[in-house]
Amino acid sequence: GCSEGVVQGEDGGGEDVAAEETLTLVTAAMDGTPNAAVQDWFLTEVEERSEGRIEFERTEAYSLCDAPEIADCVRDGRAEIGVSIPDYTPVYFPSTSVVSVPFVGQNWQGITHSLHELHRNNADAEAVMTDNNLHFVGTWPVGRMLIGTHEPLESPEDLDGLSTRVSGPLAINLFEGEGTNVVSLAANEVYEGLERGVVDSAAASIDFPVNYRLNELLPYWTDPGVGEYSSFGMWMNLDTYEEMSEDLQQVIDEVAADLAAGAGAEAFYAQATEQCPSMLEAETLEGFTRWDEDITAAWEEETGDSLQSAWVDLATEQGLENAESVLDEYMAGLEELSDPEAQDATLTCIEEFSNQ
Amino acid sequence: MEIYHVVLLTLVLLVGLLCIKMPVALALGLAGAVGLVLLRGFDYSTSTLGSVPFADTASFTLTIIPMFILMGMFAVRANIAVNVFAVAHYFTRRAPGGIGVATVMACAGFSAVSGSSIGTAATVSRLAVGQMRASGFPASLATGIVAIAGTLGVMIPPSTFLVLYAVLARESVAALLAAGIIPGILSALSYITYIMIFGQRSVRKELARREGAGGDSGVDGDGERLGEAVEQARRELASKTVSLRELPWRGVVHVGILFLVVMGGMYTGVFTSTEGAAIGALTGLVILVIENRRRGGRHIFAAFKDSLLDTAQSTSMVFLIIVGSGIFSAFLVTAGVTQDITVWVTGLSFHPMLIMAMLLICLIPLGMFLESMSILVLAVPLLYPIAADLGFDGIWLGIMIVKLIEIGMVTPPVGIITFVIAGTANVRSETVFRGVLPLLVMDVITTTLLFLVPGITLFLPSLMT
Amino acid sequence: MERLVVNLSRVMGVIAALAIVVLMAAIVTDVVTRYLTGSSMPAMVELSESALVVSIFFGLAWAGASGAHVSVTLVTDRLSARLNRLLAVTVWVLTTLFVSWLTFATAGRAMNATGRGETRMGIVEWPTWPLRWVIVAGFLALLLVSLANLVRALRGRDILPAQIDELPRRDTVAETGEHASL
Ligand code: NA
Ligand code: NA
Repeated sequence: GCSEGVVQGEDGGGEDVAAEETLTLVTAAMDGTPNAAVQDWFLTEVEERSEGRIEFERTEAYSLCDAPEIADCVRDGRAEIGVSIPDYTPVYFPSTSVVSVPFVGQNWQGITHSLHELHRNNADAEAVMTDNNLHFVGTWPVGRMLIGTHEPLESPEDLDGLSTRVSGPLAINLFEGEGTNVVSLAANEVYEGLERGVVDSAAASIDFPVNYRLNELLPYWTDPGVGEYSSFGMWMNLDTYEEMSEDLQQVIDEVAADLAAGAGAEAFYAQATEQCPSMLEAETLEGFTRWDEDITAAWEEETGDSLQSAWVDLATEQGLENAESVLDEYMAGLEELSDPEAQDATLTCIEEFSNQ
Repeated sequence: MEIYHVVLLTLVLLVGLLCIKMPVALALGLAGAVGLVLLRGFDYSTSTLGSVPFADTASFTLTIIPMFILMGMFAVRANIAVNVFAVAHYFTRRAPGGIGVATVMACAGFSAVSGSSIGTAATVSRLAVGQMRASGFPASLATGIVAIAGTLGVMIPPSTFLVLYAVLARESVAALLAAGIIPGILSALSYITYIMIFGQRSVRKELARREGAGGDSGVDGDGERLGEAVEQARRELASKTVSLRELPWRGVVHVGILFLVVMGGMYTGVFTSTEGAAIGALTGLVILVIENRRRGGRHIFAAFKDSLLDTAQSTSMVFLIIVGSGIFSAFLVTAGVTQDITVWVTGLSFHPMLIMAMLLICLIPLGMFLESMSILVLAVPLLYPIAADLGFDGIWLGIMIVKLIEIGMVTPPVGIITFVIAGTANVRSETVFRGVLPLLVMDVITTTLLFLVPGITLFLPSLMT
Repeated sequence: MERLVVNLSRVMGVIAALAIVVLMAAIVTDVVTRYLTGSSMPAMVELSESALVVSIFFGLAWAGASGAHVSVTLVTDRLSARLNRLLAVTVWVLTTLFVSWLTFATAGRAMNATGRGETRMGIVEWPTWPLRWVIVAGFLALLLVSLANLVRALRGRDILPAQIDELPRRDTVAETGEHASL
């Protein structure tokens, strides 16, 4: 820019100090979703704690870079910070995909915290990010897996013969093991697919029935105890991060640590509870329940270690070194950092339904 | 440089590139890329160029576009348009302006199997313009009718425009396709009304003028030569004593089958609308084979091969525009233009209807220098969030945008359909424009009606849920 | 030389046409399999996406050589032949430069994607990095067509669709008028 200085010099007398760093945000989190709430908490907090020295330019969701493209946009510097679903570009994120191991992740806050510690302390997990020219800010789960069906779903045996929209390799393994016909449909085609009978059921977090209005089409929603299965990630361009002054780097990292330690969970929970009325308002909703722990435990036992070793193989193949020890460290973190008292919006909503 | 200057410079560059006849897709891409260099530097711009071609094309939902194009290509070579036109002509032969009415009906019928306006206009113009001229239609009216009725191609499903809108706006493809049916039929009826009331008068005038010119029908009122085609058409008309039973009814049956496969098939639970396009294309191929079975395998294979080559060519053309527009809109987003416009517009204290009307009318001058598909790709990210903010329905907005883009396709200075008709009918494009203008009045009336009464558009989609 | 470029673009055009067949067949196969067995045929969605990319980018040069990429002739129609020749040279210089830039940019991206073995997630993990090279190949062929047109413009001859009429194969575009089927 040839006249940059001139403009600022002429009306620079005001009280607003120009930001030192203006970071463009690209995001796949739509306004009003719990994921956007987590993201917005981070952005606002950084702007405040840096006293305006860091400023974010928030582009509309999907406008500059489409969801599968966001990691690349941040990596190559078209945006400085990005929020998207790592599963879209699995090769970039073999470490955070550990969230997708069924049955393991049951506590939103614990997962978020453990992933944060993992990417600050484990060299192999960190290398995944730096090799991609990314600086890890946070990764958090999208919400517990629910299965929406036409008939009540009481045990894993009921999955036999269903045609289900499932995403993620480990969840697909799990469902296929029970005889489910797994159908691949883009997220925006699921409503139509259900309407036309291309699929008769869908496995997804509560976001899905609410945002895509699937609760109008499927009367029974069940939490089978699989837990968290997919995630949202937030990353910064590594060069941008490294070129920032040290105190600003510190602001970013402190806010990220606070997000992981509980602030993110609070923001997520607050917004996620607002989805509950939309979930329950559908007149067609007949059941919204949770399997007994015994049923889930039996199912988990039946699968054994196969899903965890499947993840280790997959992550290794995608370039994560020592995947097995990464998994162990993640699990140890879960044990240590999960707050058993923490509330889960999906479970609260299920309770609310049973009280109706 | 200030952002404002960069935006202005980039827009001037775009208009300049378009004016010197650079292919539209590349002009959009180059202007956007240069704008990105000015805003963020060469590396930034190069990253965008490296990613958009894949990111904006490799999507399952977009496969519907080449499949609709392919179905139309098969339909042309299966003589569907010829047969439908013959049937429509038989029933309208005694109506005032009968053959003009038949032309509109043939366009509407062919639109039900073709996703393209240009394809519809080109196909029907080759059949109908000569016949209309022979029946006394002045060149301007004859070509104007085909041009405007050709626009039905993107309104009546299948339609590449409606699909692309749905993808860009994240609306249901099936709902948009259903929403196009009633506005399409209304538009067709409005053209028919015009032809029945006013068309007859210009035909009488034209015949009297030809009479006055001493029966020299070699030159018409536009000073252009009446081609061989007209003479041949006149001879055909004279020799035709077709009975109801001899009519090529199979053309109508074929339209019905293809339309049912694409639209109706989705409702049986066997496939989605995206898949329906591929099934429709396959059905089109089957009809092509049956229709041409007596002409032998070699002929069928040639028709098949040509359909594929033409489809590949059109597909590349359409998607290069999508890529070019993708680069240009990356520039608009990076410069913050889209957000600024949204903030400015939603801050206006006018009635939402007025704001929406103003924004939609802006599409018409855009059509003066941009190609129709580029307008769609650029307008949706701008208009959709605003409309949603103001509380308008996304499906309705799609129909309004497509309707206005249709108008742009036949209006000067850049009316792509007009150019195509001028080419196939061998007249000057001004002649076609002259014939289109009065018919455009009908379109303005229809569009206003659709704007004021969204229920007309939303009735069929509402039946789906 | 020019004949070579036109022939190359035609060969790629034929591959693009075959990709259209693959696209149709993949979707139909998926529908039929699902209708009969209840499950999707693995990889059919990914295969049809890939076929779409092949048909788009392998067809670019063919569409370019047959003049299918629409442009606005409104202004140039009113200018003198001499000025038009100058503008044609300008357009094809700019087009050549821009398509080179696109080729360079997509090649960088393709190399990167190859290095990391880029995939996309569905029922199966589908490699997407080869598609990045399909895009590069498509732009490279379009670059050759642009160069051929630049040479023509410099010599004051009409740009490429004119050439196709001179060759034995008929011009399907002119025949069907579908050169801009939207
Ligand atoms: Na149509
Ligand atoms: Na126009």
